[in-house]
Amino acid sequence: MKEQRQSWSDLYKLEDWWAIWFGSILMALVSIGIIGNDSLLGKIPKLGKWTSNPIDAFPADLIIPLIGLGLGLMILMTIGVYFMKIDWKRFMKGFLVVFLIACLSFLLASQTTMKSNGIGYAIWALLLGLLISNTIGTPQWLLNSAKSEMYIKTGLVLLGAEILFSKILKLGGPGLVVAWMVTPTVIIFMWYFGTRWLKINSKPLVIIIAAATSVCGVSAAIATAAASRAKKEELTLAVGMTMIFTVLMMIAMPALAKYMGIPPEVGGAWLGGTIDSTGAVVASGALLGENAEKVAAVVKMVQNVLIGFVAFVVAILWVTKVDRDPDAPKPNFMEIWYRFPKFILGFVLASVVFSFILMPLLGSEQVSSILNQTKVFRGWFFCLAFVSIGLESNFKDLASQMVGGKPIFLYIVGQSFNIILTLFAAWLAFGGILFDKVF
Amino acid sequence: MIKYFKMTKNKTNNYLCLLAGIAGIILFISAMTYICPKLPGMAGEVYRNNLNNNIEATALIYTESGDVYDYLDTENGKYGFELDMHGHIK
Repeated sequence: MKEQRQSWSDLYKLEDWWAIWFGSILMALVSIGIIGNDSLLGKIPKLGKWTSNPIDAFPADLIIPLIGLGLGLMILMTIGVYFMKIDWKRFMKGFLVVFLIACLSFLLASQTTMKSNGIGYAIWALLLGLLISNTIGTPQWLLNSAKSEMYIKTGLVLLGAEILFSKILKLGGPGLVVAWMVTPTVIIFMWYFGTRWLKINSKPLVIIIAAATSVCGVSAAIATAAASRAKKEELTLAVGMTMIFTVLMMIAMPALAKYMGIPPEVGGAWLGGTIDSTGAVVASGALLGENAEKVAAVVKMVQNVLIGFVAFVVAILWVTKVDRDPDAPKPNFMEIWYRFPKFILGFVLASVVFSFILMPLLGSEQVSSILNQTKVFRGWFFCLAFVSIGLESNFKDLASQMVGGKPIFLYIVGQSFNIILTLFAAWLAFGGILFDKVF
Repeated sequence: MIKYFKMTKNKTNNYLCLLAGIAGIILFISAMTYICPKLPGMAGEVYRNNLNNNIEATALIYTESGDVYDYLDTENGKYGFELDMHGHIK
Protein backbone atom coordinates (compact mmCIF):
# COMPACT_ATOMS: atom_id res chain seq x y z
CA MET A 1 0.00 0.00 0.00
CA LYS A 2 1.27 3.45 -0.83
CA GLU A 3 2.18 5.19 2.37
CA GLN A 4 0.39 8.45 2.86
CA ARG A 5 2.34 11.22 4.48
CA GLN A 6 0.76 13.99 6.41
CA SER A 7 2.12 17.04 8.06
CA TRP A 8 0.85 19.98 10.04
CA SER A 9 1.51 22.17 7.02
CA ASP A 10 -1.54 20.54 5.38
CA LEU A 11 -3.56 22.81 7.62
CA TYR A 12 -2.51 25.84 5.62
CA LYS A 13 -1.60 24.23 2.31
CA LEU A 14 -4.69 22.19 1.40
CA GLU A 15 -7.89 23.53 -0.11
CA ASP A 16 -10.09 21.36 2.16
CA TRP A 17 -8.65 22.97 5.27
CA TRP A 18 -8.85 26.42 3.76
CA ALA A 19 -12.56 25.88 3.10
CA ILE A 20 -12.95 25.30 6.84
CA TRP A 21 -10.88 28.40 7.68
CA PHE A 22 -12.78 30.59 5.20
CA GLY A 23 -16.13 29.38 6.54
CA SER A 24 -15.02 29.71 10.17
CA ILE A 25 -13.65 33.23 9.65
CA LEU A 26 -16.89 34.39 8.04
CA MET A 27 -19.06 32.74 10.70
CA ALA A 28 -16.88 34.26 13.42
CA LEU A 29 -17.08 37.74 11.85
CA VAL A 30 -20.87 37.49 11.84
CA SER A 31 -21.11 35.90 15.32
CA ILE A 32 -18.98 38.55 17.04
CA GLY A 33 -20.91 41.33 15.33
CA ILE A 34 -18.36 42.68 12.84
CA ILE A 35 -20.71 41.78 9.97
CA GLY A 36 -24.50 41.97 10.29
CA ASN A 37 -27.30 44.36 11.18
CA ASP A 38 -26.09 47.51 12.99
CA SER A 39 -22.49 46.28 12.92
CA LEU A 40 -19.14 47.73 11.92
CA LEU A 41 -19.25 46.52 8.30
CA GLY A 42 -23.02 46.35 7.90
CA LYS A 43 -24.99 43.40 6.62
CA ILE A 44 -24.06 41.33 3.59
CA PRO A 45 -25.65 42.79 0.47
CA LYS A 46 -28.53 40.98 -1.19
CA LEU A 47 -30.08 42.19 -4.42
CA GLY A 48 -33.65 43.49 -4.32
CA LYS A 49 -36.56 42.35 -6.49
CA TRP A 50 -37.38 43.89 -9.85
CA THR A 51 -40.09 43.39 -12.43
CA SER A 52 -39.30 45.41 -15.56
CA ASN A 53 -36.40 47.65 -14.60
CA PRO A 54 -33.23 45.83 -13.43
CA ILE A 55 -31.98 49.01 -11.72
CA ASP A 56 -34.71 48.48 -9.09
CA ALA A 57 -32.62 45.56 -7.80
CA PHE A 58 -29.87 48.00 -6.81
CA PRO A 59 -31.12 50.41 -4.15
CA ALA A 60 -28.75 53.36 -3.60
CA ASP A 61 -27.35 51.88 -0.39
CA LEU A 62 -26.41 48.57 -2.04
CA ILE A 63 -23.63 49.56 -4.45
CA ILE A 64 -20.86 50.28 -1.94
CA PRO A 65 -21.57 47.17 0.20
CA LEU A 66 -21.58 45.10 -3.01
CA ILE A 67 -18.18 46.47 -4.06
CA GLY A 68 -16.99 45.93 -0.47
CA LEU A 69 -18.18 42.32 -0.56
CA GLY A 70 -16.40 41.64 -3.86
CA LEU A 71 -13.14 43.15 -2.61
CA GLY A 72 -13.46 41.53 0.82
CA LEU A 73 -13.99 38.05 -0.62
CA MET A 74 -11.16 38.63 -3.07
CA ILE A 75 -8.72 39.52 -0.28
CA LEU A 76 -9.82 36.61 1.92
CA MET A 77 -9.63 34.07 -0.91
CA THR A 78 -6.30 35.45 -2.14
CA ILE A 79 -4.73 34.89 1.28
CA GLY A 80 -5.77 31.23 1.09
CA VAL A 81 -4.67 30.89 -2.52
CA TYR A 82 -1.24 32.34 -1.60
CA PHE A 83 -0.70 29.70 1.10
CA MET A 84 -1.96 26.96 -1.22
CA LYS A 85 0.95 27.90 -3.51
CA ILE A 86 -1.33 28.91 -6.37
CA ASP A 87 -0.40 31.98 -8.43
CA TRP A 88 -2.28 34.55 -6.34
CA LYS A 89 -1.72 37.43 -8.76
CA ARG A 90 -3.48 35.50 -11.55
CA PHE A 91 -6.27 34.52 -9.16
CA MET A 92 -6.85 38.15 -8.15
CA LYS A 93 -6.90 39.28 -11.77
CA GLY A 94 -10.02 37.32 -12.69
CA PHE A 95 -11.86 37.09 -9.37
CA LEU A 96 -13.77 40.34 -9.72
CA VAL A 97 -15.05 39.26 -13.16
CA VAL A 98 -16.29 35.95 -11.71
CA PHE A 99 -17.91 37.97 -8.93
CA LEU A 100 -19.49 40.30 -11.51
CA ILE A 101 -21.02 37.33 -13.37
CA ALA A 102 -22.33 36.07 -10.00
CA CYS A 103 -23.95 39.50 -9.45
CA LEU A 104 -25.56 39.23 -12.87
CA SER A 105 -26.90 35.76 -12.00
CA PHE A 106 -28.48 37.10 -8.81
CA LEU A 107 -29.91 39.99 -10.81
CA LEU A 108 -31.63 37.65 -13.28
CA ALA A 109 -32.88 35.43 -10.44
CA SER A 110 -34.34 38.38 -8.54
CA GLN A 111 -36.77 39.24 -11.32
CA THR A 112 -40.26 38.65 -9.87
CA THR A 113 -41.49 36.21 -12.55
CA MET A 114 -38.29 34.17 -12.32
CA LYS A 115 -38.55 34.10 -8.52
CA SER A 116 -42.19 33.02 -8.56
CA ASN A 117 -41.42 30.27 -11.04
CA GLY A 118 -38.51 28.86 -9.14
CA ILE A 119 -35.82 29.83 -11.64
CA GLY A 120 -33.06 30.89 -9.29
CA TYR A 121 -29.46 32.00 -9.40
CA ALA A 122 -27.80 28.59 -9.80
CA ILE A 123 -29.32 28.02 -13.22
CA TRP A 124 -28.43 31.57 -14.33
CA ALA A 125 -24.88 31.24 -13.02
CA LEU A 126 -24.41 27.99 -14.92
CA LEU A 127 -26.02 29.40 -18.05
CA LEU A 128 -23.95 32.59 -18.09
CA GLY A 129 -20.74 30.65 -17.49
CA LEU A 130 -21.61 28.13 -20.21
CA LEU A 131 -22.58 30.92 -22.58
CA ILE A 132 -19.15 32.52 -22.24
CA SER A 133 -17.17 29.27 -22.40
CA ASN A 134 -19.09 27.93 -25.42
CA THR A 135 -19.04 31.09 -27.50
CA ILE A 136 -15.99 33.31 -27.06
CA GLY A 137 -14.25 30.75 -24.82
CA THR A 138 -13.14 31.37 -21.25
CA PRO A 139 -9.81 33.24 -21.30
CA GLN A 140 -7.00 31.72 -19.23
CA TRP A 141 -6.80 34.73 -16.90
CA LEU A 142 -10.46 34.12 -15.97
CA LEU A 143 -10.05 30.35 -15.59
CA ASN A 144 -7.39 31.00 -12.93
CA SER A 145 -10.12 32.44 -10.71
CA ALA A 146 -12.75 29.83 -11.48
CA LYS A 147 -11.98 27.75 -8.41
CA SER A 148 -15.31 25.94 -8.29
CA GLU A 149 -14.27 23.35 -5.69
CA MET A 150 -12.89 25.95 -3.31
CA TYR A 151 -16.14 27.95 -3.48
CA ILE A 152 -18.32 24.83 -3.12
CA LYS A 153 -16.43 23.55 -0.10
CA THR A 154 -16.55 26.95 1.62
CA GLY A 155 -20.27 27.24 0.88
CA LEU A 156 -20.84 23.77 2.32
CA VAL A 157 -19.06 24.62 5.58
CA LEU A 158 -21.36 27.65 5.86
CA LEU A 159 -24.37 25.49 5.00
CA GLY A 160 -23.50 23.21 7.94
CA ALA A 161 -24.40 26.02 10.36
CA GLU A 162 -27.93 26.11 8.95
CA ILE A 163 -28.60 22.42 9.64
CA LEU A 164 -30.08 22.78 13.10
CA PHE A 165 -30.97 19.60 14.94
CA SER A 166 -33.72 21.37 16.91
CA LYS A 167 -35.78 21.42 13.71
CA ILE A 168 -36.05 17.63 13.93
CA LEU A 169 -38.32 17.91 16.96
CA LYS A 170 -40.89 20.09 15.26
CA LEU A 171 -43.06 17.26 14.00
CA GLY A 172 -41.86 14.51 16.33
CA GLY A 173 -42.39 10.88 15.31
CA PRO A 174 -44.60 11.41 12.24
CA GLY A 175 -42.10 13.82 10.67
CA LEU A 176 -39.21 11.44 11.31
CA VAL A 177 -41.07 8.50 9.77
CA VAL A 178 -41.66 10.38 6.51
CA ALA A 179 -38.36 12.21 6.31
CA TRP A 180 -35.90 9.72 7.75
CA MET A 181 -37.32 6.30 6.87
CA VAL A 182 -38.06 6.95 3.23
CA THR A 183 -34.94 8.96 2.35
CA PRO A 184 -32.27 6.27 3.04
CA THR A 185 -34.50 3.63 1.41
CA VAL A 186 -34.74 5.69 -1.77
CA ILE A 187 -30.98 6.37 -1.82
CA ILE A 188 -30.18 2.65 -1.45
CA PHE A 189 -32.77 1.69 -4.08
CA MET A 190 -31.43 4.26 -6.57
CA TRP A 191 -27.83 3.26 -5.89
CA TYR A 192 -28.50 -0.38 -6.72
CA PHE A 193 -30.79 0.49 -9.61
CA GLY A 194 -28.20 2.86 -11.11
CA THR A 195 -25.09 0.76 -10.61
CA ARG A 196 -26.42 -2.80 -11.00
CA TRP A 197 -29.47 -2.47 -13.27
CA LEU A 198 -28.66 0.51 -15.47
CA LYS A 199 -24.91 -0.16 -15.14
CA ILE A 200 -23.99 3.52 -15.07
CA ASN A 201 -20.21 3.54 -14.92
CA SER A 202 -19.84 6.72 -12.92
CA LYS A 203 -20.70 5.91 -9.32
CA PRO A 204 -20.44 9.56 -8.22
CA LEU A 205 -23.10 10.45 -10.79
CA VAL A 206 -25.45 7.78 -9.39
CA ILE A 207 -25.01 8.88 -5.78
CA ILE A 208 -25.43 12.58 -6.66
CA ILE A 209 -28.71 11.90 -8.49
CA ALA A 210 -29.89 9.61 -5.67
CA ALA A 211 -29.11 12.20 -2.97
CA ALA A 212 -30.62 15.06 -4.97
CA THR A 213 -33.82 13.06 -5.54
CA SER A 214 -34.29 11.82 -2.02
CA VAL A 215 -32.87 14.52 0.26
CA CYS A 216 -33.17 18.08 -0.88
CA GLY A 217 -32.13 18.74 -4.45
CA VAL A 218 -29.27 21.05 -5.20
CA SER A 219 -27.66 21.27 -1.73
CA ALA A 220 -27.59 17.50 -1.42
CA ALA A 221 -26.20 17.21 -4.95
CA ILE A 222 -23.41 19.67 -4.13
CA ALA A 223 -22.59 17.99 -0.81
CA THR A 224 -22.45 14.45 -2.22
CA ALA A 225 -20.58 15.60 -5.34
CA ALA A 226 -17.90 17.12 -3.13
CA ALA A 227 -17.83 14.07 -0.84
CA SER A 228 -17.50 11.62 -3.76
CA ARG A 229 -15.12 13.87 -5.72
CA ALA A 230 -17.46 13.87 -8.73
CA LYS A 231 -16.69 15.64 -12.01
CA LYS A 232 -18.06 19.13 -12.54
CA GLU A 233 -20.12 17.94 -15.50
CA GLU A 234 -21.77 15.29 -13.34
CA LEU A 235 -22.83 17.87 -10.78
CA THR A 236 -24.07 20.20 -13.52
CA LEU A 237 -26.18 17.41 -15.01
CA ALA A 238 -27.70 16.43 -11.64
CA VAL A 239 -28.41 20.06 -10.72
CA GLY A 240 -30.01 20.79 -14.10
CA MET A 241 -32.27 17.73 -13.92
CA THR A 242 -33.24 18.45 -10.32
CA MET A 243 -34.19 22.04 -11.09
CA ILE A 244 -36.32 21.15 -14.10
CA PHE A 245 -38.17 18.36 -12.29
CA THR A 246 -38.64 20.48 -9.15
CA VAL A 247 -40.47 23.15 -11.12
CA LEU A 248 -42.64 20.47 -12.79
CA MET A 249 -43.38 18.71 -9.50
CA MET A 250 -44.18 21.99 -7.76
CA ILE A 251 -47.10 22.31 -10.17
CA ALA A 252 -48.10 18.68 -10.70
CA MET A 253 -47.96 17.30 -7.15
CA PRO A 254 -50.59 19.54 -5.49
CA ALA A 255 -52.85 18.95 -8.48
CA LEU A 256 -52.43 15.19 -8.04
CA ALA A 257 -53.04 15.42 -4.28
CA LYS A 258 -56.25 17.37 -4.89
CA TYR A 259 -57.36 14.95 -7.60
CA MET A 260 -56.77 11.95 -5.32
CA GLY A 261 -58.62 13.64 -2.45
CA ILE A 262 -55.74 13.17 -0.01
CA PRO A 263 -56.26 14.79 3.44
CA PRO A 264 -54.28 18.07 3.74
CA GLU A 265 -51.74 16.94 6.36
CA VAL A 266 -51.05 13.66 4.50
CA GLY A 267 -50.76 15.65 1.27
CA GLY A 268 -48.44 18.16 2.94
CA ALA A 269 -46.16 15.40 4.23
CA TRP A 270 -46.21 13.81 0.78
CA LEU A 271 -45.13 17.04 -0.91
CA GLY A 272 -42.55 17.77 1.80
CA GLY A 273 -40.99 14.34 1.39
CA THR A 274 -40.83 14.34 -2.40
CA ILE A 275 -40.34 17.83 -3.87
CA ASP A 276 -36.66 18.63 -3.95
CA SER A 277 -36.38 22.17 -2.61
CA THR A 278 -37.91 23.76 0.46
CA GLY A 279 -39.02 26.87 -1.38
CA ALA A 280 -40.94 24.79 -3.91
CA VAL A 281 -42.34 22.63 -1.09
CA VAL A 282 -43.80 25.68 0.65
CA ALA A 283 -45.16 27.00 -2.63
CA SER A 284 -46.93 23.77 -3.52
CA GLY A 285 -48.04 22.98 0.05
CA ALA A 286 -49.76 26.37 0.21
CA LEU A 287 -52.15 25.19 -2.49
CA LEU A 288 -53.45 22.43 -0.21
CA GLY A 289 -54.13 24.80 2.67
CA GLU A 290 -52.39 26.23 5.70
CA ASN A 291 -52.05 22.95 7.64
CA ALA A 292 -50.65 21.17 4.60
CA GLU A 293 -48.16 23.98 4.08
CA LYS A 294 -46.92 23.76 7.68
CA VAL A 295 -46.51 19.99 7.56
CA ALA A 296 -44.88 20.11 4.12
CA ALA A 297 -42.29 22.69 5.11
CA VAL A 298 -41.44 21.07 8.43
CA VAL A 299 -41.10 17.58 6.89
CA LYS A 300 -38.72 19.12 4.35
CA MET A 301 -36.67 20.83 7.03
CA VAL A 302 -36.42 17.59 9.01
CA GLN A 303 -35.26 15.92 5.80
CA ASN A 304 -32.69 18.66 5.16
CA VAL A 305 -30.88 17.70 8.35
CA LEU A 306 -29.91 14.49 6.55
CA ILE A 307 -27.57 16.34 4.15
CA GLY A 308 -24.76 16.18 6.71
CA PHE A 309 -25.26 12.47 7.44
CA VAL A 310 -25.45 11.59 3.76
CA ALA A 311 -22.33 13.59 2.87
CA PHE A 312 -20.43 12.04 5.78
CA VAL A 313 -21.45 8.47 4.93
CA VAL A 314 -20.69 8.98 1.23
CA ALA A 315 -17.24 10.37 2.04
CA ILE A 316 -16.45 7.36 4.27
CA LEU A 317 -17.83 4.86 1.72
CA TRP A 318 -15.81 6.41 -1.08
CA VAL A 319 -12.59 6.29 0.89
CA THR A 320 -13.06 2.76 2.23
CA LYS A 321 -14.87 0.99 -0.62
CA VAL A 322 -15.73 2.74 -3.89
CA ASP A 323 -12.41 4.51 -4.58
CA ARG A 324 -10.28 1.75 -3.08
CA ASP A 325 -8.20 -0.63 -5.14
CA PRO A 326 -10.04 -3.99 -4.67
CA ASP A 327 -6.72 -5.84 -4.39
CA ALA A 328 -5.35 -3.49 -1.75
CA PRO A 329 -5.64 -4.41 1.93
CA LYS A 330 -8.29 -2.78 4.07
CA PRO A 331 -7.27 0.83 4.77
CA ASN A 332 -6.29 1.65 8.33
CA PHE A 333 -7.62 4.60 10.30
CA MET A 334 -4.77 6.89 9.28
CA GLU A 335 -5.29 6.21 5.58
CA ILE A 336 -9.02 6.82 5.92
CA TRP A 337 -8.24 10.06 7.71
CA TYR A 338 -5.73 11.08 5.06
CA ARG A 339 -8.12 10.53 2.17
CA PHE A 340 -11.25 11.77 3.92
CA PRO A 341 -12.43 15.15 2.53
CA LYS A 342 -11.74 17.37 5.54
CA PHE A 343 -14.24 20.09 4.70
CA ILE A 344 -17.01 17.56 5.49
CA LEU A 345 -15.76 17.74 9.08
CA GLY A 346 -16.15 21.53 8.93
CA PHE A 347 -19.68 21.05 7.63
CA VAL A 348 -20.65 18.62 10.42
CA LEU A 349 -18.81 20.62 13.08
CA ALA A 350 -20.58 23.85 12.09
CA SER A 351 -23.92 22.07 12.43
CA VAL A 352 -23.02 20.64 15.86
CA VAL A 353 -21.65 23.97 17.16
CA PHE A 354 -24.72 25.93 16.06
CA SER A 355 -27.20 23.25 17.23
CA PHE A 356 -25.72 22.31 20.59
CA ILE A 357 -23.53 25.22 21.68
CA LEU A 358 -24.71 28.48 20.16
CA MET A 359 -28.43 27.67 20.22
CA PRO A 360 -28.59 27.07 24.02
CA LEU A 361 -26.02 29.81 24.66
CA LEU A 362 -27.40 32.63 22.52
CA GLY A 363 -31.02 31.61 22.00
CA SER A 364 -32.90 31.00 18.77
CA GLU A 365 -33.41 34.68 17.93
CA GLN A 366 -29.71 35.53 18.06
CA VAL A 367 -28.76 32.36 16.16
CA SER A 368 -31.38 33.16 13.51
CA SER A 369 -29.91 36.62 12.99
CA ILE A 370 -26.41 35.11 12.62
CA LEU A 371 -27.71 32.52 10.15
CA ASN A 372 -29.53 35.21 8.19
CA GLN A 373 -26.10 36.61 7.34
CA THR A 374 -24.14 33.37 6.90
CA LYS A 375 -26.73 32.02 4.47
CA VAL A 376 -26.27 35.08 2.26
CA PHE A 377 -22.53 34.38 2.28
CA ARG A 378 -23.30 30.73 1.44
CA GLY A 379 -25.47 31.86 -1.47
CA TRP A 380 -22.63 33.97 -2.84
CA PHE A 381 -20.16 31.09 -2.60
CA PHE A 382 -22.48 28.64 -4.34
CA CYS A 383 -23.17 31.24 -7.00
CA LEU A 384 -19.42 31.77 -7.56
CA ALA A 385 -19.11 27.98 -7.77
CA PHE A 386 -21.79 27.62 -10.42
CA VAL A 387 -20.34 30.49 -12.47
CA SER A 388 -16.95 28.75 -12.29
CA ILE A 389 -18.41 25.38 -13.28
CA GLY A 390 -20.07 27.02 -16.29
CA LEU A 391 -16.83 28.77 -17.28
CA GLU A 392 -14.90 25.50 -17.08
CA SER A 393 -17.45 23.31 -18.91
CA ASN A 394 -18.52 22.84 -22.48
CA PHE A 395 -21.68 21.39 -23.97
CA LYS A 396 -19.80 18.46 -25.49
CA ASP A 397 -18.57 17.26 -22.08
CA LEU A 398 -22.05 17.75 -20.64
CA ALA A 399 -23.64 15.73 -23.43
CA SER A 400 -21.14 12.92 -22.85
CA GLN A 401 -22.53 12.52 -19.31
CA MET A 402 -25.95 11.61 -20.64
CA VAL A 403 -24.83 8.05 -21.58
CA GLY A 404 -27.96 7.13 -23.56
CA GLY A 405 -30.37 8.96 -21.26
CA LYS A 406 -29.59 6.65 -18.33
CA PRO A 407 -29.22 9.45 -15.74
CA ILE A 408 -32.67 10.82 -16.62
CA PHE A 409 -34.15 7.33 -16.49
CA LEU A 410 -32.52 6.82 -13.07
CA TYR A 411 -34.00 10.12 -11.85
CA ILE A 412 -37.50 9.33 -13.13
CA VAL A 413 -37.60 5.77 -11.74
CA GLY A 414 -36.07 6.89 -8.42
CA GLN A 415 -38.44 9.82 -8.07
CA SER A 416 -41.46 7.61 -8.91
CA PHE A 417 -40.37 5.13 -6.22
CA ASN A 418 -39.90 8.08 -3.84
CA ILE A 419 -43.39 9.40 -4.61
CA ILE A 420 -45.09 6.04 -3.98
CA LEU A 421 -43.11 5.20 -0.85
CA THR A 422 -43.53 8.69 0.63
CA LEU A 423 -47.28 8.60 0.05
CA PHE A 424 -47.47 5.32 1.94
CA ALA A 425 -45.29 6.66 4.79
CA ALA A 426 -47.28 9.92 4.91
CA TRP A 427 -50.53 7.97 5.17
CA LEU A 428 -49.10 5.80 7.99
CA ALA A 429 -47.63 8.74 9.90
CA PHE A 430 -50.12 11.55 9.30
CA GLY A 431 -53.26 9.60 8.44
CA GLY A 432 -53.87 8.54 12.05
CA ILE A 433 -52.54 4.99 11.56
CA LEU A 434 -49.26 4.93 13.52
CA PHE A 435 -49.64 8.19 15.42
CA ASP A 436 -52.46 10.47 16.55
CA LYS A 437 -53.34 13.06 13.93
CA VAL A 438 -51.27 16.24 14.34
CA PHE A 439 -54.19 18.59 13.70
CA MET B 1 -4.05 37.22 -44.97
CA ILE B 2 -6.70 34.55 -45.57
CA LYS B 3 -5.77 32.91 -42.28
CA TYR B 4 -6.13 36.26 -40.48
CA PHE B 5 -9.44 36.88 -42.20
CA LYS B 6 -10.70 33.41 -41.18
CA MET B 7 -9.63 33.98 -37.57
CA THR B 8 -11.34 37.37 -37.45
CA LYS B 9 -14.48 35.89 -38.98
CA ASN B 10 -14.45 33.10 -36.42
CA LYS B 11 -14.03 35.57 -33.58
CA THR B 12 -16.85 37.72 -34.92
CA ASN B 13 -19.09 34.66 -35.14
CA ASN B 14 -18.29 33.76 -31.55
CA TYR B 15 -19.17 37.25 -30.33
CA LEU B 16 -22.38 37.14 -32.37
CA CYS B 17 -23.28 33.85 -30.68
CA LEU B 18 -22.64 35.44 -27.28
CA LEU B 19 -24.88 38.38 -28.19
CA ALA B 20 -27.57 35.98 -29.45
CA GLY B 21 -27.39 34.12 -26.13
CA ILE B 22 -27.82 37.35 -24.15
CA ALA B 23 -30.73 38.36 -26.41
CA GLY B 24 -32.25 34.91 -25.82
CA ILE B 25 -32.10 35.37 -22.04
CA ILE B 26 -33.76 38.79 -22.26
CA LEU B 27 -36.43 37.39 -24.59
CA PHE B 28 -37.08 34.44 -22.27
CA ILE B 29 -37.58 36.68 -19.21
CA SER B 30 -39.82 39.08 -21.19
CA ALA B 31 -41.93 36.24 -22.59
CA MET B 32 -42.33 34.60 -19.16
CA THR B 33 -43.30 37.93 -17.60
CA TYR B 34 -45.96 38.38 -20.26
CA ILE B 35 -47.28 34.80 -20.25
CA CYS B 36 -47.18 33.76 -16.56
CA PRO B 37 -49.94 36.06 -15.21
CA LYS B 38 -52.22 34.62 -17.90
CA LEU B 39 -51.42 30.95 -17.32
CA PRO B 40 -54.51 28.78 -16.82
CA GLY B 41 -54.93 25.84 -14.44
CA MET B 42 -52.66 24.73 -11.63
CA ALA B 43 -49.52 26.27 -13.16
CA GLY B 44 -51.16 29.71 -13.11
CA GLU B 45 -52.51 29.14 -9.62
CA VAL B 46 -49.03 28.23 -8.32
CA TYR B 47 -47.50 31.28 -9.99
CA ARG B 48 -50.11 33.74 -8.72
CA ASN B 49 -50.07 32.26 -5.22
CA ASN B 50 -46.29 32.56 -5.07
CA LEU B 51 -46.42 36.11 -6.31
CA ASN B 52 -49.28 37.28 -4.08
CA ASN B 53 -47.92 35.67 -0.91
CA ASN B 54 -44.34 36.59 -1.65
CA ILE B 55 -43.22 32.97 -1.48
CA GLU B 56 -39.73 32.60 -2.86
CA ALA B 57 -40.42 29.40 -4.71
CA THR B 58 -36.98 29.20 -6.16
CA ALA B 59 -36.29 25.57 -6.80
CA LEU B 60 -32.79 26.08 -5.54
CA ILE B 61 -30.44 26.08 -2.66
CA TYR B 62 -31.19 29.71 -1.96
CA THR B 63 -34.18 28.78 0.16
CA GLU B 64 -33.47 25.17 0.86
CA SER B 65 -32.28 25.53 4.37
CA GLY B 66 -32.53 29.25 4.67
CA ASP B 67 -35.31 31.66 4.06
CA VAL B 68 -38.25 29.41 4.89
CA TYR B 69 -37.02 29.21 8.46
CA ASP B 70 -38.03 32.84 8.89
CA TYR B 71 -41.29 32.05 7.22
CA LEU B 72 -42.05 29.24 9.65
CA ASP B 73 -40.39 30.68 12.73
CA THR B 74 -42.33 29.54 15.78
CA GLU B 75 -42.08 32.95 17.44
CA ASN B 76 -41.77 35.54 14.72
CA GLY B 77 -42.76 33.81 11.50
CA LYS B 78 -45.88 33.78 9.44
CA TYR B 79 -47.06 30.55 11.01
CA GLY B 80 -46.49 30.54 14.74
CA PHE B 81 -47.25 27.14 16.17
CA GLU B 82 -46.28 25.47 19.40
CA LEU B 83 -45.46 21.85 20.14
CA ASP B 84 -47.15 19.68 22.75
CA MET B 85 -45.21 17.44 25.14
CA HIS B 86 -44.96 14.74 22.44
CA GLY B 87 -43.40 17.14 19.99
CA HIS B 88 -46.57 17.38 17.89
CA ILE B 89 -48.02 20.64 16.65
CA LYS B 90 -50.64 21.85 19.15
